Amino acid sequence: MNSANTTLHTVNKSGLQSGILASCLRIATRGDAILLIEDGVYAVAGCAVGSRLLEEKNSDITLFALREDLQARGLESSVPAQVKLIDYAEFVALTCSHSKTISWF
Amino acid sequence: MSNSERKTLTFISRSSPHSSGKAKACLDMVLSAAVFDQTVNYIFMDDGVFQLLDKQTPATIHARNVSAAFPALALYGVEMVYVDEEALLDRGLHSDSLLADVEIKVCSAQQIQALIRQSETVFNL
Repeated sequence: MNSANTTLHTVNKSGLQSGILASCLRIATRGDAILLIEDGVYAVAGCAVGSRLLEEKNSDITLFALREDLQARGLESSVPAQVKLIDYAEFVALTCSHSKTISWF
Repeated sequence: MSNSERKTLTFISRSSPHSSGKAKACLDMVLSAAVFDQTVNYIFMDDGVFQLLDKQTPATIHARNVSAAFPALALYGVEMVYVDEEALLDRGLHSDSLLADVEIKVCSAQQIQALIRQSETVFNL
């Protein structure tokens, strides 16, 4: 079930208020996935800093955002195409398909 | 404890020493893991690097000195701690202003990524 030594990174703060997105991107490596949850979803929408940070790495890291959190914040329509929207069940599946999870909060 | 129960645990400490209990909580987890004979990677990133500054006098603000425990890490089998070179650079810190009685290895992002790759579990505090 586990793909070879990959990490799921969850980020729950916006890229502007906190440096955790930058730190996460520094540590995330090829084949990893980053899932934006809670205020982390602001990084794909209004936050230019977050979007730029994400673009720098998006070639070898898969980006996900939790649909419920985007909807709750009125952001669903502003998500760039390279970000995959997932629901809670898919969130669970992602944690199972990676060998470990690092929570950035 | 048999070898099969020995795991590599990575702890990333990213909080400054006196503003919250996170630095102390991370240290406690590191010591607990080490006592139970696990392999521990103890990494300092972001404001966590301030924990490693020499010449702290937290008693002046009635705070506990988390850093005082670091020299004891070796007794628990944690021979070395790792610090993110970029976190030092961003804060204008140089490794010679860090605790002298702790073995500190300054690491690139790639070296930290490798430590994480080797671990079963990563705690990020």
